[in-house]
Amino acid sequence: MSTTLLAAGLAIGLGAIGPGIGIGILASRAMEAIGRNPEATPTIQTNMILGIVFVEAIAIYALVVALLIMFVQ
Amino acid sequence: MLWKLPNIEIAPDNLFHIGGFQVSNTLLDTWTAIIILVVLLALGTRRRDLIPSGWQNAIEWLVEAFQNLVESVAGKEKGKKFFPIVFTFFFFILIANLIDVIPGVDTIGTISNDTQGGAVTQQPVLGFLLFGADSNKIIPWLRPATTDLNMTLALAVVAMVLVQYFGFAMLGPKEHLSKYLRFGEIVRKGPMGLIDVFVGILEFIGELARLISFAFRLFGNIFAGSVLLAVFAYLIPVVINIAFIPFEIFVGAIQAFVFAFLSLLFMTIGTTSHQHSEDDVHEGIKEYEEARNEGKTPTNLSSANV
Repeated sequence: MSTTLLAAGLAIGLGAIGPGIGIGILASRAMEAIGRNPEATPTIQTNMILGIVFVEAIAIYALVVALLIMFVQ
Repeated sequence: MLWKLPNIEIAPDNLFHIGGFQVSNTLLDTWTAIIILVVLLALGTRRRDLIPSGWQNAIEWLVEAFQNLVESVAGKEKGKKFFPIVFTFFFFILIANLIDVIPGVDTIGTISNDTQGGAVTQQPVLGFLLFGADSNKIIPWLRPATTDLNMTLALAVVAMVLVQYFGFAMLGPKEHLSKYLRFGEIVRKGPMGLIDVFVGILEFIGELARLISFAFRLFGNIFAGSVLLAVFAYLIPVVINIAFIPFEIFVGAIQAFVFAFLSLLFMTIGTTSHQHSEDDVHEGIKEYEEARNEGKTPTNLSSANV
């Protein structure tokens, strides 16, 4: 039981590092682009949300693995 | 202990059965979402006034805004074909996600107490009036539809099958299949064409990966959101969900938009021929070279007009 808990914790903990850094890089570049060209804000925003969703899907995969480890025997 | 941590399970519970067909609480929620969607849109299209007002106006604005978005991505004729399914994806998933934050969903249900003799007695109960040892045995009557992996997998399968169907219908079977089985490249380019065959196989695997990623992205976001709301309601009862419920509404809307937009994007890419884009690039380069050789670059032309 205890290795199950450890495995679930590690799965989501380590799995969220990459997407966290990735979304930070994405959002920072988007902010920079908006600062340089405020007129293009809707285009930049839509494409930023699209990019963030792809990156966040990786974190969701890690969460699903953690849930599977915890709740499916 | 006043109450216990809520019972989190991935598979939905079956509530009752209609002649051998098990109805689960997520299925009940799907039917509710369908009824709400049909009622809302039917109210908007009942009268066909030329100058709309009221609810008809709102629905027309919505449809027109969405159609502009779809046509800006896919072009005019393709946009007309892709619009119904993309609109349906967006609004059905949006309503199914928004039902998640209505008070009563996931909290009003029945408790089943298994007695020693095997008889199961069920008493309907309101979730927040439950204290003590029974407090996490509740089986809710309505559970958000997209927290069921079956539902999101079905939506993803529909989206991917439609991508393939539109590819076959708009490009013709030979050209569509030549994206995945690129054996013609071996004939054209010689042994270097083996790389293209490999790329074709990778594209096929990519289609399956898209199916799984669609299903799990939507499921993971909404399921994690409902677990978040339940656990935070356990930790700090009334206050903290004031901050998290707007977050859940936002995430639900974004996930609905992303599902619809990504299926639109894949449909557009799937109906764009691979060969034509290469030829267009070569034609464009040739035109530019000819224009430059005649001494009229684009900048020269514009200064001539001034």
